[in-house]
Amino acid sequence: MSKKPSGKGGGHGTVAQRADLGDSIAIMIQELRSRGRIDDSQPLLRIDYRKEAATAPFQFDMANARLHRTSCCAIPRGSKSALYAVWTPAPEDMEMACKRCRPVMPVEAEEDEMANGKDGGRERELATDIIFGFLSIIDQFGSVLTERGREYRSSERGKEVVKAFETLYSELTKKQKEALDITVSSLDVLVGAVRRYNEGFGTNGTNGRSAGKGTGAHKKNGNGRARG
Amino acid sequence: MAGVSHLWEPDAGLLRDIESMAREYRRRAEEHLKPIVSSYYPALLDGGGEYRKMIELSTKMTMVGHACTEIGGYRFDERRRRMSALFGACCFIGDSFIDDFGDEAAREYIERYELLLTKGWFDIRNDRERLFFVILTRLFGERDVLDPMLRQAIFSLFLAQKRDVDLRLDPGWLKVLRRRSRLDQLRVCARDRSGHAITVLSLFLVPGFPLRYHHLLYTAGALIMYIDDHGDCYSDLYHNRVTYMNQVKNPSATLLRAFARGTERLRKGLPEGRGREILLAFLYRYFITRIEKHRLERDRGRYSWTVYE
Repeated sequence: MSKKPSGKGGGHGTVAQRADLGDSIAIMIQELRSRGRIDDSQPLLRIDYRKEAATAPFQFDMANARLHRTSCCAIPRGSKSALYAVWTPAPEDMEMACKRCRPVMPVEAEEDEMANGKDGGRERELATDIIFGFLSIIDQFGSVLTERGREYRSSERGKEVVKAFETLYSELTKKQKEALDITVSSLDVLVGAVRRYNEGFGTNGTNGRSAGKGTGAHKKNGNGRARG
Repeated sequence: MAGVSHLWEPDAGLLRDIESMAREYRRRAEEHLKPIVSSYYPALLDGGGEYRKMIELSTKMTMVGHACTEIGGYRFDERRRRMSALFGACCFIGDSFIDDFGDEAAREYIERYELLLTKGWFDIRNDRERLFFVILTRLFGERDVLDPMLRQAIFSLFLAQKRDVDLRLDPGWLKVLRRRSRLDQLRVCARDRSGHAITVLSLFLVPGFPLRYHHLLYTAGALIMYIDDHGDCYSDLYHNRVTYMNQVKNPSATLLRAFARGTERLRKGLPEGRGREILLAFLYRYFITRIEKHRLERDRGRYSWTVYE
């Protein structure tokens, strides 16, 4: 890293320390990419939502307060740059519905949700996305993680952590040990699968990768609840 | 300015509240931002007023952020004040790459920022860029930036910036349009820049902000941009920067109409309460101070007068 934060950022205490640590990690990732240590053909984070937005059932015109079906021909030309894709409008949003295309609440989606047991389908999809996200990090940062892991294992700090883990493990109940073993072996299987996959393609791993789905493509409009 | 006396205006008590709120938020913005600037780009602190301008924009964003949060039904707490200040600083430094280092730097920034938003990669080459990246990272770390509405707002804001830069660097195609179409293009560009910006801010502060109020904030955002451009009219003309407000025939009357119509929409559409009061009072104060700025700059040309209040 070319510059270390002074530690004064954001005041005192753990919030400031966490912020400094976050800054350092974010900068370090970008610097690793600049030095060619990370495969940057894959995105680290994609904010661009245009691809997903085009497939949403509704578009909200911010400039004229109109909710349209995506295919509506009454969307004014001057509003194209002020459109927001909407997946699940609230019932009160229907007051702003376009008179021409008459969007209606997505009944089918509601029925699907009921059939899946509330948000069951969405939750399964979320879990799959998280696994793919985890795999993509192992895949993309694999070499850096391996190198860091080796260094860390042989460092004093790493040895202390190993000791602490051993103590912790010896104090676990049989059931807890079994649960932990399953988690660790699952991790082994995932890492092994990623490695075999990359070896199979014989490159640094850019061929045939799943691009994954845009996170939250079918999430409700917004988070629905404010944090903090 | 003729006609101002007929406008709605906040009562004296509310204006006093707004004044003291601005003083308080200026202090808070500095508390949040100064340590970050000191750590990553200390030269900005002695940069001839640039740091002070950044604090002013952050103060303005904090005032607007307070109004948005209360309109969304939440308390404007410390974390939200911090996010508003970060957002203001992020906008300020981002705009500096576009406005202060020449055409080539503006074009390059747009390309690099597009890469950041489409792939997440950003090549940090100097302290100013490091500060920008850190502020952006801290802001993005506050919320789920992959929330569909927030993602759209962030990317739409970028597209509006890109369009603005394209208009400035390649004004040729604008000149061939008929006057009416040209004005429409400029009006939409101004509307979108600030409209998407206030949408980003409100979604950071209140995820799931109700759709039925979003378009009203968009109106408020557009109004802020028109007021801003009217204030900067002479300095923009001096720098050959074409804006909607410096191209219309009678800018004062146009602004007055937009202000009267916009504030009327906000009064009727936003839920009654402190948030609406703060937003309207802020807009009124902003409108009055920028009319004064416009008047003062009329004889000064390129010498821009910064409003520190």
